Amino acid sequence: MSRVAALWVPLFPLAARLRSEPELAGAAVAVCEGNGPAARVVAASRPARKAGVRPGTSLAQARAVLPELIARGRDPAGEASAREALLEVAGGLSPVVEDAGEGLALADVEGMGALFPGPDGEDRLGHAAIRAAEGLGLPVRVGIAGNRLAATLAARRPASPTVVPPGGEREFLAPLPLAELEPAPELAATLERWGLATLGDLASLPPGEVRRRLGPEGEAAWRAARGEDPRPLVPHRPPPVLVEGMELEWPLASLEPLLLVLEELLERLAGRLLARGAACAALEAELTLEPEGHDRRELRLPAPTTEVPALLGLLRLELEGRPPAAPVAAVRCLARPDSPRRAQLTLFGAPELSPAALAAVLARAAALLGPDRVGSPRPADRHLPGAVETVPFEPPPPPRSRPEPRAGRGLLAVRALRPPVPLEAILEEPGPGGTGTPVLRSLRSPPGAALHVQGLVRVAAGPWRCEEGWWSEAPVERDYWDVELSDGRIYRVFRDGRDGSWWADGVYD
Amino acid sequence: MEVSEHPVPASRPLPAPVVAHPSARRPGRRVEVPEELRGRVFRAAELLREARRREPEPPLPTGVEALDGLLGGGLPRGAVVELSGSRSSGRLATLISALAVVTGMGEPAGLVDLGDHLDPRPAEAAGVDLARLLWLRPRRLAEALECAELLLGAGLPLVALDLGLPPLRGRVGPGAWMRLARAVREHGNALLVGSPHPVTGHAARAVLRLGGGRGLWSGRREGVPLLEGLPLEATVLRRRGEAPGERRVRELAVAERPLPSPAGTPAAPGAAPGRRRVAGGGRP
Repeated sequence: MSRVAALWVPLFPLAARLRSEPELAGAAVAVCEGNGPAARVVAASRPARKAGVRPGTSLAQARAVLPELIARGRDPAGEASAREALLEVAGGLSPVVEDAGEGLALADVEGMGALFPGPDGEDRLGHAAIRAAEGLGLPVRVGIAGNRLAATLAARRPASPTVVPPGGEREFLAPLPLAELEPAPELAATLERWGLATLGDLASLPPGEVRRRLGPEGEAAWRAARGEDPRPLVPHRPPPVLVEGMELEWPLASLEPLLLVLEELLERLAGRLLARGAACAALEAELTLEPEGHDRRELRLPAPTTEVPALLGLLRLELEGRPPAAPVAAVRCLARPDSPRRAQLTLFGAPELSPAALAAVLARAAALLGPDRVGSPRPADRHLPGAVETVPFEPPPPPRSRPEPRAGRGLLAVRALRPPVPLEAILEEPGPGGTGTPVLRSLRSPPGAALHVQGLVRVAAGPWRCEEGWWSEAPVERDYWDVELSDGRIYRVFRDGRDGSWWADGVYD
Repeated sequence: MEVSEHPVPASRPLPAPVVAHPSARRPGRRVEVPEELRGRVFRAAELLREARRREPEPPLPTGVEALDGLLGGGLPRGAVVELSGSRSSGRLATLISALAVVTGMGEPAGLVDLGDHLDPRPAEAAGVDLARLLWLRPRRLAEALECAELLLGAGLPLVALDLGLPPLRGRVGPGAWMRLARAVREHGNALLVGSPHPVTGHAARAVLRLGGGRGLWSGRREGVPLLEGLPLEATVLRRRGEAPGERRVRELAVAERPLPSPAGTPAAPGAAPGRRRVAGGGRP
């Protein structure tokens, strides 16, 4: 026997708005559709409803009833993300989830007895769903029944969660008014003429007569009233990226308020990622500009993370580097989920770093320095000395046993100078019997150079020729020397073969 | 398996109850270890913690034997050691050597490189496992200290902080170094600071000045000189626990792993690349 859980968010446009602006909770708020005199209230908070503001009334009427009413327009971006968040809560209950419309998600919860055992298992399941939805900022009502219709109607009861016992759908539906089925107007009029008021009245009619007089549509309503709903759930495929968005009441021209909005969105994203057991592998921010245009920023993350301060730091770095060209009217943040890194403890080998802590540290370092200045160094695939590139830091797992430290091999390290320091060289051209190579006599850097180099050449070894990219527009043709000056410092210097200029690109240190 | 019956002396106080299987971590499924087995069944994490408590981690060798001798076996865990030295003093070489030892043991290490000076090819030749090296390139001194604190917090056993060439870019107060020293002590890792002149003040457990003599060249008589190494000489400027002003000078082993030739093909007949690859043996 199938079991379906329905998760329903009452007054969904209002709930989505309150999720974006939690500070409005408890105030008299109305969400409106349309502009100017045509603006109509779509949903109103409890204080507003108590004062008499009803859905369908015009905003002017509502304000006449309640002058302190806070009116907000509908927020398509916020509603879309609230809808996705609701589906994620349902996805936490079951792999088969249907997006059944605005503010309604259905989940197939058959066989959940293993996780929620006992006679009150489904009740606890419902409470778990309510808690999970609250964690994502959604007030949800849960109904659990044998089919989608009964579950949906159960979710609309004030008591939440409402669990309809297996086989009890007909009894549960019997006292409900016919309007709950939302029949077509003609059918509704006919049933009303017949004097039928509840679903139980409709269910008690003989089936042959219903089919003959009301046709297939009437028969479907009759079956629904008897608690029969054979429609299976249409599985919802979770989107590959998580989106959180917000339309701003007025365009933001400066960065700080925009970052506050982004922090809010990132916190919601992080909550949804954690609910999925995932982390953010890549982040995108889409800014809708006023009066027109879009600005899209993509962030490369060194490791999947859910650390909001780190993600916000990266966004801040990106936006401070290239501020938006115009005021921002709407914001969307897209996060590509990925599984967070896992670690395996070893008994005898070196302890592995905690992947979550490492990911957080990498993200924070990238936020501080910029993503291109954080990583693991690799020699670039070039002949040029000192050429380096960075790759993401993903240390291999430690060996199973801890090797003994090796004795020192002795080494000669080069301190690369980036960019190279220009030099003035005094050379002695070889005589007629010489080897054909000029002899270096002294080197000095020009005034104002980044590094002060000056001295007579004590020893010079070289040259070593380095040529690369002769086919490209920026070919490299250099002769390298190792040079010890009279102050004892040893430099790696080169002469540029194209213009004969001298440079130091490293210090032996 | 998280359960081990590794024999542990019964005198040690034990945390209880002990969870027997990962699945038992779910609420409502916790499995209590039977009374008669308590004291003999431990979680792996507890065994590890206990083993590390009993045997404090030995100092991290720097790979330069004489320097390890000066430091009492290597870089002490939970403390800052500063090496100061000017150009061609062997400061970077010592940092690279320590990184090579740690990454060679299969552990990750971090290098905070203030002047963007790392040349990966010689570092790799010196034995650094680059895949285990996290390289951060700050632009200012304050950023460099913040990066070092981040890496210490991540649990990297060794963090090398190279402050580059003078002048230092930016300034920090003395409190910043004390804060780093506290972070090192808290996390139990080693912080090796390489600076052009002493900067850490009282935050470091030991401050050594490195200074070499002339470079070691071969083949000068034949007219084909080849750089073979740098002599290293360390002076203890300050070490906690010793009378102020006490100095020890020690001639260190010669750094002499020949580099691969910077370019590859010699342009002059006198400078054959093969000569640069003279096998690095011990220099007396």
